[in-house]
Amino acid sequence: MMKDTPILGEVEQLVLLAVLRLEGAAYAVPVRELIQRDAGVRLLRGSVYVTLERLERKRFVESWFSEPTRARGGKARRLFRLRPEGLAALRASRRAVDRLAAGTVAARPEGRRA
Amino acid sequence: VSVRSSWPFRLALRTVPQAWRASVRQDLADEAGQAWGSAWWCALEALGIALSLHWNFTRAAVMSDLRHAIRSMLHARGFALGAIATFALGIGVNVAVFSAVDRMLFRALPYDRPDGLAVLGQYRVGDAQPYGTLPAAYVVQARRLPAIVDASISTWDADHYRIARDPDGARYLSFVQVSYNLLAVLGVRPVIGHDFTERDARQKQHRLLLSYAVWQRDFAGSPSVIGQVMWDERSSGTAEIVGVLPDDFIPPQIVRPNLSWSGLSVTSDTLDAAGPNDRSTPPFVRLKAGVSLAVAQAQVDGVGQQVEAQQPTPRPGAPQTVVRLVPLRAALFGRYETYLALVFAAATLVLLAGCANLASLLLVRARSREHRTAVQLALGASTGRVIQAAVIEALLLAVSGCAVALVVLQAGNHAIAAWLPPLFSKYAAPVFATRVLVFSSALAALSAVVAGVWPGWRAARVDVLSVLQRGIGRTGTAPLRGSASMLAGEIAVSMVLVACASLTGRSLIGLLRTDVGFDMNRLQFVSAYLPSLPDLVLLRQQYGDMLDTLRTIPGVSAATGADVLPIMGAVDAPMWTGDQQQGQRWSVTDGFVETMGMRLLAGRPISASEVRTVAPVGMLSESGLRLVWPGVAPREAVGRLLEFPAEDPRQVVGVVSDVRGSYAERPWPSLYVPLGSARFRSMFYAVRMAPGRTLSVADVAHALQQRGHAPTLVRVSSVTALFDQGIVDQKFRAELFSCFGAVALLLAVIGLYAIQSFNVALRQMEFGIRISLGAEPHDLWRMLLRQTLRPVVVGVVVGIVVTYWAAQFLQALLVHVDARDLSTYAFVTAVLLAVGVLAAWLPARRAVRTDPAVVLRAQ
Repeated sequence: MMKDTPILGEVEQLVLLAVLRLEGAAYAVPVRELIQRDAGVRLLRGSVYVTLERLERKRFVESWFSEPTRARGGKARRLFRLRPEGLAALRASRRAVDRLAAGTVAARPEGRRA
Repeated sequence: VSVRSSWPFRLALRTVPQAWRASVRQDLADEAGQAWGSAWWCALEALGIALSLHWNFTRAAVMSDLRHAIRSMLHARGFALGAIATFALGIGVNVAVFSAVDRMLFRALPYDRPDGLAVLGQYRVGDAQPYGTLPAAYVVQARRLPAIVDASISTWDADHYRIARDPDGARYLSFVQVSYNLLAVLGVRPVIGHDFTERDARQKQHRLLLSYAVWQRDFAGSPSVIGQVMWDERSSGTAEIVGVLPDDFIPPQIVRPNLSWSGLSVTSDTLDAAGPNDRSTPPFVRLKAGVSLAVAQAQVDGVGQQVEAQQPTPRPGAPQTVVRLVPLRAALFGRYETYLALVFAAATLVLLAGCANLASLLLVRARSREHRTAVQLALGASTGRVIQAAVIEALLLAVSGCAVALVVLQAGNHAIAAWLPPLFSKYAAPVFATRVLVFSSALAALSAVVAGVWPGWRAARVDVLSVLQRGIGRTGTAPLRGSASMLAGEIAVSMVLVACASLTGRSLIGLLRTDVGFDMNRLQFVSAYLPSLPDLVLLRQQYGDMLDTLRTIPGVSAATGADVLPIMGAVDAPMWTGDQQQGQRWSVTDGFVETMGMRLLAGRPISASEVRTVAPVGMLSESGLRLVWPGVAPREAVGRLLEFPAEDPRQVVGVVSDVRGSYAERPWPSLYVPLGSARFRSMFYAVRMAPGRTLSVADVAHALQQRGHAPTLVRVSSVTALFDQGIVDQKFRAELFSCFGAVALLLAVIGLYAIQSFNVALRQMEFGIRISLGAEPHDLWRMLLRQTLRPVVVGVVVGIVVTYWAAQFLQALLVHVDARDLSTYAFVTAVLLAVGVLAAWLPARRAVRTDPAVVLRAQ
């Protein structure tokens, strides 16, 4: 029997990918900017925080507090990186989508016909 | 750095969950430095983030609380139904009142840039109400002033048109007459068709703009309505429909606010010329953008002197007047604001009583579930968590109550509309209008918080250890705490509302008992107009012939005529030239005193031959006599000569009772003289019917036509109905406050009864012990009564203080009644104490009948 892997939500996938790409320098602002720049999706600030929170609770990401920033009055900020479970969930989600799309028009690059 | 330390941002950050606060602060401050820089925006963003995070944290808990609340509501159906029904009463009253007063109190007028609109009116110095008219030259001049874009008027009159060609049984719609530029001044465009044009007015074309409601109702919203005609009531003429007004349009009606309307019709007045004697209704004025009222007023004052100089010299002793610009909103609704605010405040009080009631019911409920709460607390639930659960339960009940109220209001829509006086029904919004729905949901949510927090807090303060030791299913025996203050509040609210009801009720009864000075029974008011004639003698004779015809109609026992009947209200007819508006002169025909049923105090009425010859005689009313000859007895006045300036002496033949024009009006000191043909305009008739007979328009029209008269606009109305119309508002207020008072009283009874019977159930053991130790039934009675009445007495005292304070506003609604009258307070106190005793009765009876053996064995 195959174990049910939870499929990540759309926003969760985007945020996980952004955290992955930011390589240890991920926090809410660059995550949001990266998603907007590369995926063309504009997320509400609140939902970025909420998603990070949720991902951490699911143990897909982990956070730690950085050194206080150098600006005057700067405080420590929460940084995120992917945990192995997060990477596995990301892969599983990608695979699930790919399997489902295989052989359909959706799997082909744009503009090409069969 | 400046954004970081600004207080709105710092304050907003406090709402962000601790784990995220530092990050959010850093992130937002960084971005503020680059992109937007405003502290307020940072604060708003922080609030948004906080809201998302909190909702994410608590969603599961809220959902579980909600599920639990629904389950427990279904479980205790009786309790839930009672709570929902009582709360529906409270919120229903509020929603109904809000939908009725919203337009007048809170919304902007449905015109373009309504702040730039004003009304130019002539005021008696010191008066807040303008006269119905002002010299028409003001309108013409105002249109040319640099501060004013344009001015427009709505006349006194309405035109009546029917949709069907056939006049038999047709329904007439009334169209408010306005000048062609009204919509342009208000900045309103028809939804279909076009506006009136100046050419319509110049060529005296009959054109109509339909209201949206009539378009939907009578023309099924069809666009082909444009170009259709409607038939005139007076002539066989027609008028063409040129457009349809927007759905939210209301005609600005200052001079006749109660005139019903189905649309607008255009007058032929183009407002570009006026003779010295012409008068106009107060014009609506559009100020140029950016021009203040003061600047425009200064310009009006500038032309004012010129206009006044051309006016006919005022009568000696005429009051001083000023011509003032007043914002349109204030002119339309200013005079009702206190009244409406009072009604709104009263409705809010009813809701407060509803909240207190809901809270006390929840308190009882929380007590009966204290074991569960204790377990939750023992497992680590915080006080906030327990309060949250209580608020959610209250929310569920409140929202259900609100839904019930909305459905009931919608179902009773027509009945309510028929009950409301024109002022309210005209501006009332439908129940399912967005604003009303938003208002009611916000109100329900707010009430739930108000009603839920206190019971939740009390529940969280339960003594966990002792409750857990006692075990499931056993309630403690300590009396219910924390309910007394709520009951006292509820009683105070009831006190205020019942006092309002009793005051307005007494005012109404007082009015209805007023001696009007004549007999209203079976008295009909008849009007029938004849075409105007240059030969006044002939015209007077024709009207006289119509009177003779009326007297021959079967069922008519007497009839009389007058230039103006006192029941129509005072007109500009002074008792003598320069009497400074102290008295009135009425010109009447013979049979006046007999037909009206006035009391003759001395002498005799004016005879038929005196009317025919227009003899120099007159009858004085009681107060008229006091005005001309103070201290002279009626009998001594008969035969004396009245010598007024600039007229021949007139002999007094009789003295009659004072007559009022309406219940609330004071009687005018009056002089009645024979109606001649000098300056004759028309005659109105009063007809006394034989018992059991009625008079219809058809009867009158038929009789007059048979004698060769061709009157237009025949109207017959019962004088009783006319007088009742004058007290519509008084009646409505009395009914409204009675309704509020009854709801508040009902809520108070339910609250008192619920708490008291729960208390008695809790204390059965105590009663058992008391009885077995020898307490007599009357001792228990006295004790329980005292405990129930304590919050009642506190509530009554608070209520009296509040009512005494509110009396200053209430007084404006009352006629012949003092709002601080002691007997009212005594009466209401007695009512509330009686209610308190009643609510204590049944539970107390149960307590007295406690069988000590049964109760003690159970332990």
